[in-house]
Amino acid sequence: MEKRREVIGRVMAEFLEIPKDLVLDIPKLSIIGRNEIYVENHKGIIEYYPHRLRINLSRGFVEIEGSDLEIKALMTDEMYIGGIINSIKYHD
Amino acid sequence: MAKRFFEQVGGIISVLLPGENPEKVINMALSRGIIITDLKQRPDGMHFKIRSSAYTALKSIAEENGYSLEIVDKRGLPFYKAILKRRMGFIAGGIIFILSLYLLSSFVMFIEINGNQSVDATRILQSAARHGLQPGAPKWTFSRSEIEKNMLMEIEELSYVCVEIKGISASIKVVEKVLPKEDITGPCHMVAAKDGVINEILVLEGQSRVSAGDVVSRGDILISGIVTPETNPYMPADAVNLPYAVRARGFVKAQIWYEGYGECHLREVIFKKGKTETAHRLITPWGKVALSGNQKPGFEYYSSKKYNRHFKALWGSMTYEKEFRQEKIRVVAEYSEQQGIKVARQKAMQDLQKKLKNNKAVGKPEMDILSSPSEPIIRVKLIVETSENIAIAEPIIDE
Repeated sequence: MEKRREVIGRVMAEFLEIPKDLVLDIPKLSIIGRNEIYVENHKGIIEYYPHRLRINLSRGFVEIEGSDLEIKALMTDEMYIGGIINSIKYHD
Repeated sequence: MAKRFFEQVGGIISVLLPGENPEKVINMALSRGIIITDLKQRPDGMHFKIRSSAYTALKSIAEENGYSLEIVDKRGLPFYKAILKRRMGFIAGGIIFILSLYLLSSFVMFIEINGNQSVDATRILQSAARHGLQPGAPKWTFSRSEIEKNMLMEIEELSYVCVEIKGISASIKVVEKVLPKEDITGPCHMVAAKDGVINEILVLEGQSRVSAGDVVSRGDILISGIVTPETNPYMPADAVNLPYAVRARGFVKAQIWYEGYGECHLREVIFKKGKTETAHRLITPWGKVALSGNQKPGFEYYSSKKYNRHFKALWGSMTYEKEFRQEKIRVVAEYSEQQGIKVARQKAMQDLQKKLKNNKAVGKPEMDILSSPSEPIIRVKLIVETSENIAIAEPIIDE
């Protein structure tokens, strides 16, 4: 049922040319240089250490590795991360 | 910038969340709409900032989950409120100070008049006072444009009045009218204004009484306003030939000599300018209050100039006095005869320039040494020659 709704939503978004992150609640990551990441549509923090940050998403989670990681702003849907970023990995 | 401003207005609390896995509390806070900023993981726990309004909600979440929340720092206007409450006297003093400063600066204390030459300053001050501008007058009781308009109407000799208020002093700038000289319209003679020898004479109206080469003294009639018609042989025998009066007109150029005198003592005491000092003091009804500078003169010989500004206060008239002292250094000057002549000549020249005014000298001045060689003083006389119009109108008075 859930999957069907997602498929319909994706088809509709493609048909109407609407950004998918708005319709489907898909996370959007904006990376500015190597020091800043802006995450939209997140579902909370799973784990936070200065060298590793795991962010929960609607499907799976994203793991950011680096050093001196810091969450500069944290809101219900948005997150702004600063620090030196080494890698970004997606996990199901 | 805007973020910091809103943080200051709303109040920001820095908190520490110690313990294992504090992410759970953070996620629950997020679901309740609490905004978290500057989240940092440190060895003692998780540090972050929240708005002061969200603290109670966050605290209850933390306690429900077995965590304790510690306040590290508080910043913003709501927290200053408590400090302000404790220092009510200080705040009240500050407000009273600002208010009294504003109140005192709302009065005109000094009035300055610029630009008047023939119109008396007292008359201008009185006129301004009549329309509300006087020392001690509150600024809101008069209108500048109204004062300017009324003063122009009241003092006819003025063509322009500008009132400027700067702080507690008012400046009245005036420009006087240049009125045409009153010309004599009735019958008159042209008389000599100075002694001299006539060079040229041009009669426009009237009858000439002098000719070129004549020596005239001050007050002598040069062109007469009473014209006696000349008899001529073709006139009828019974024709009446009576003199008649006219307004004499014409130019009379004459050679005038001017003398300038100067002297110089061969040995004299002169005072040279030295250092200066200024003293400021306030003269109150109870006595003098020293404000700054040396109140007693620090020089043996000096000249002093005092500038006063009077103003009215609630307790009586006050005067601000500024004394400017110029030190005079006593020097004995000795001159040789040549130097003495030079100094005396310079003085004579200055004297001559004053007498000459706008007239130009013809040729170089002649110098005459009046003193004898045995005298300890050199006296010099300079004589210069000019050519100028000496005719001035003088009304004919019937006797």
